[in-house]
Amino acid sequence: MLEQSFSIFRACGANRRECQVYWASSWTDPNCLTHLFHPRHSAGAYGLAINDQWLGEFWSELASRNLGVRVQVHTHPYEAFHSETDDAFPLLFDVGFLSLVIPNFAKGPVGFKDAYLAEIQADGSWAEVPAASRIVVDDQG
Amino acid sequence: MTEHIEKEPVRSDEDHGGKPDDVGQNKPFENEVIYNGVAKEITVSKAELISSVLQKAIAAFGNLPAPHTLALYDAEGRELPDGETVHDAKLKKGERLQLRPSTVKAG
Repeated sequence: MLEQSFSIFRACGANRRECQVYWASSWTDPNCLTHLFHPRHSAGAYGLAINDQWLGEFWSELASRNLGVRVQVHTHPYEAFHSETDDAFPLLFDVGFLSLVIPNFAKGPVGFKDAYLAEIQADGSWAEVPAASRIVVDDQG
Repeated sequence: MTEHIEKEPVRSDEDHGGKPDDVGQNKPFENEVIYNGVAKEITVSKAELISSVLQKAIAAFGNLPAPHTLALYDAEGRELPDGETVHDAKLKKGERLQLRPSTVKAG
């Protein structure tokens, strides 16, 4: 899933646009991420916006497949951090929801090096958390 | 030749008793709301404001820390205006609503 995400970021972003994917899991096993979704979006070098019609269809698909999104992942052109826009307009505002930012349009090695992982706290604020403390990559990536 | 038979209108339970003007108008009914793949039922009435329905939907999913970012959408993907009533918004019994953010961005 991590490798697939980097492939999508590189192909869709073409080293000049941000891109986003969602990692989801079944509600019967929420901690095991199994599904990746690449939303329809507009994007530039310093931002992206998810298409509203796509979001409506996605919401229905999640319900019909008993899936829930656990992590949103997007690229930045340079350094990875959580911007004010990232803080204010995530896909979900659930406690424990994760937002992973990948630097340099995902041109670097596949993995969490120099990535930034933020987690929503009980008061709605975001806090940086170590990627390894929340996401474990198995043999299948 | 086509035979045309005038039938008496079928009377529903709502037609029996009560005042004609308020019968069925405020009778509560169930709607399903989905949020991140989970469905919950909420009870609404025709005269209720969408803002109230939105509060019920948010409450059904527990303690969401930023409820101001969420809106309700009908089956056609139309955002339901806060100031309209359920009746004005043409919300139907059993209709599946979406509780989701109105804007998703990153930067």
